Amino acid sequence: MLLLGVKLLTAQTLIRGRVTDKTGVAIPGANIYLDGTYDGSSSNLEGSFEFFSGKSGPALIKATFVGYNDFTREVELAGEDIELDVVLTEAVNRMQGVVITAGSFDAGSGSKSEVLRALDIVTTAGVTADIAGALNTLPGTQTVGEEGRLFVRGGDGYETTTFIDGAYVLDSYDQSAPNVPTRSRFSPFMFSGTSFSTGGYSAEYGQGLSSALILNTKDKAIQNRTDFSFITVGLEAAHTQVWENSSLTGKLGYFNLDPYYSLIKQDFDWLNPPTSLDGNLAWRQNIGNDGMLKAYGKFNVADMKFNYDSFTLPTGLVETRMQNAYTHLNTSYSDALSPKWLIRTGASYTVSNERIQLDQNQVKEKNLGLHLKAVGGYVHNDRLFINLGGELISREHSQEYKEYQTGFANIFKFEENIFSSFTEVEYYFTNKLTARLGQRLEYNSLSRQFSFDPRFSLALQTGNDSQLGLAYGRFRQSSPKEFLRVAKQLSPEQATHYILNYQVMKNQRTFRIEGYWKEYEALVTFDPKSPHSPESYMNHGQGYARGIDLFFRDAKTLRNVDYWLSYSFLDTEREYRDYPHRAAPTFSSRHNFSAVYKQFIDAIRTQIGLTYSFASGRPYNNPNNDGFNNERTPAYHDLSTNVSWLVKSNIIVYASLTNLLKRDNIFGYEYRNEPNEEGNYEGRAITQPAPRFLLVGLFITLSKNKTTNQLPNL
Amino acid sequence: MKKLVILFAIALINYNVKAGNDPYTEAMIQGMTMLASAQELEDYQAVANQFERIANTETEKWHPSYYASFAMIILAANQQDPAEIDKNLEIAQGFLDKANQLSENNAEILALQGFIHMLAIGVDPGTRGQEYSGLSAAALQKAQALDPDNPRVMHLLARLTYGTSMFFGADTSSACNMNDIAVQKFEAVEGIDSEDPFAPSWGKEMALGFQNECGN
Repeated sequence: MLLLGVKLLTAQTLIRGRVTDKTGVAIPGANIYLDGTYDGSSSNLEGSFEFFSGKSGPALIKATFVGYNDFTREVELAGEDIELDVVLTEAVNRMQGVVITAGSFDAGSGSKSEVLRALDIVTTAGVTADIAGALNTLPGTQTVGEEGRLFVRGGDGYETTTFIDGAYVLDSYDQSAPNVPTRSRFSPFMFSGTSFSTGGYSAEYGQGLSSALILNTKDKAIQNRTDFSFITVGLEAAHTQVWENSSLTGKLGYFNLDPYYSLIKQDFDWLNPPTSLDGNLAWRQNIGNDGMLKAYGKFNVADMKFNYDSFTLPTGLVETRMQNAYTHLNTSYSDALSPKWLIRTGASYTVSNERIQLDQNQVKEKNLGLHLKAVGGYVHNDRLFINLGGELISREHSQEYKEYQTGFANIFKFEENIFSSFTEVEYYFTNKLTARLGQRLEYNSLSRQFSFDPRFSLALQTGNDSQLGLAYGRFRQSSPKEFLRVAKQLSPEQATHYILNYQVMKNQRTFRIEGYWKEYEALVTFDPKSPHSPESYMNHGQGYARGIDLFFRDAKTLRNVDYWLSYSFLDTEREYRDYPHRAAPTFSSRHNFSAVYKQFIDAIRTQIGLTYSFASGRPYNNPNNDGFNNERTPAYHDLSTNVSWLVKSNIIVYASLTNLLKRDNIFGYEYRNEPNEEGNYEGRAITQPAPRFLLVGLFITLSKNKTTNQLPNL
Repeated sequence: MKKLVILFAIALINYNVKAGNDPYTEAMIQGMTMLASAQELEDYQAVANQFERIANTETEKWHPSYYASFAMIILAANQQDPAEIDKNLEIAQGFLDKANQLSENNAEILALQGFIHMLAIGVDPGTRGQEYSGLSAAALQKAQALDPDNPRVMHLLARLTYGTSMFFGADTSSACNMNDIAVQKFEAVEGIDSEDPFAPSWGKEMALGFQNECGN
């Protein structure tokens, strides 16, 4: 059929043959042709092809097929039949090759390694659209209910660092009252891709001892829309305006927990429950064919007042007011300078001012962060990629304390500049084996030290759907600000990660097992008797964390049902802060399990979700007993649910309720500093401020395309 | 190989030129003939290959890349494996980008763009629905603004609206009315010879078939 009519002509050369791969298996659908002409054909199911050409003289035969290297052969056309065995070799490149997954969970990246979808961040029950909350259902995280932060693989909360479009984010959580869980400051709706690394991550990212949370914002919006949200805790309005090559989104929110707290009793003495005003502005501009400029600004003011009994100190109830003003500006530009060179630049600036009024006394804290970064990506060929970059992270911190009655005042502050450069080389040996080797060089202006941190990871495809991964790296993070402001000589804390990972992904089912070993060094230690003396602070702490993480996800077996199960085993001990010796830290729990279930019911256009979380008892120190951190709290259980009902195509009703079983979870115990008359230290349990949290919301979207709604936002 | 699930019934592809012209026209006619008679998935791959060969040589003409893209779209539409659908849509997108560079603001090319995004939704409606239905609608609306009488654009808009209405359990009658209008537009242009010998003319049978789905 393909040879229609051509046979009639004279001086024709017949070219025929068979297209196979290296093992002799036929490749159907390949395009075989004489370069520079229309003459050619496609291979059939057996790999065979034939065609005539009326040309004569020397010619170049080409054979092409997606995923294979082009085949070329010089031939002489002289009317005699040409027989060809076309053997196509598999192209080795990123498109076809295995993806490095050790240590990281990708959501919404669209890549082959994606474990969660972008939507999952926000549709998981019990999470109420908090990024950290959603990631807490993944293995490698520990539930620390009174904090709300991410605690990764035996690491403290501050060991997870957040990056937005590559730029460092200072203070990424909302301010919160003591033992009341916080939330991430950033709405998950902003992001199209999330990469959550529980260790062994790329040399591009520094300043995270345990974990990097890498968030990528959405590109240019595609349609004008206006959104309104009415939630039991506040109101939000957003508008997006789209132009040919740019878009602008503005969002304004007001949150006030007063009405909610007056309806649902809290075990916390609120005088003025938290209120906040939140503004966001995002500008996107396409530049040329490949250039993208993003600018984002966030402005937030928050205020709360409560009576607080610190319990450890015999101060009794203290009227406390916390105010915070937060600004984060973030711009990034990425472009392809040539087919070989890609560049990314980013700048972020954060200012956070906090004022805490304790009766007549006042604490003022100021944090300022600047991050400048430039990365060049060089594509040497299909197999070899090089990333080079330089960055400056500059931080300023001050804390001022004033006592009204005595007139006593002191101020602690520091300024820190970290200059770094990094190089990373990724090479595909075959499509089944890739390795990434990186290094990070840093100079820290406070400790006046240079440091060199190697990183290495590897992925090996072991079967059609399975792969093995390996990662190693040394990670470094400046000592926490509460210590640096007193003792500027402190060096960065360090951790070394070793990770072994095995993963199978098949038919919308994912199974993953990862073992890790983490060594901590140079952790800050201090003498609790002299907390204001710089000499009492040292980098003498050390410790380890080791464990196994299991993950299983299945979106296939049951129709419209998607569920995942995570289990983490953790064994960790550390000597740090004022610990008298190595001990399991209070935020660690040996066993963590969570099960997430989601089902969409077509008939009533409703998605229901259930999440169950379990954490075994956490260590706490009872000064009435011998030893240190020897006691364990009861286990933690939580069963949460959520429902999203699509009333009309642009109206959604959402409800979420935590702790269905009304379990009284205990997170730890606090003890008085001084013993009572009987010589005992009195204790108090740290519990949930309310047994349950209920959130009900109504979301309305107005757009030209009436079927748009906020469903992906829930 | 399995039979096509969706028969696009493009037997009505017209090309109002006769054989015996220049090599380009000859090769295009050959490609159009292959397209009109294609039945199996591999036939569409061969059609795409034929048009790709022409496109490689004719770097000024948008038609070859357009039809190469169209053949890959049909291939994708008739596959079940999400990975295969995505792969073929990506190839189709590559051809369409090439066509678009040669002929900007072309309603026919924008129509295929809307089609590609629409098919991408089907792979994972829950996740992709919002973004890709928006992208698809944006391309089709732009196409409609450029060429309000284009029956293919109208039909694809009807399909998109139908799909989203079904997803949200809303009334599909407006989508079906749009499709009826598309059929009228197809009938209106029938018999009119375009100046462009390879102007796209597919779609009427798709629209008629869709009327059955709409229940009239």
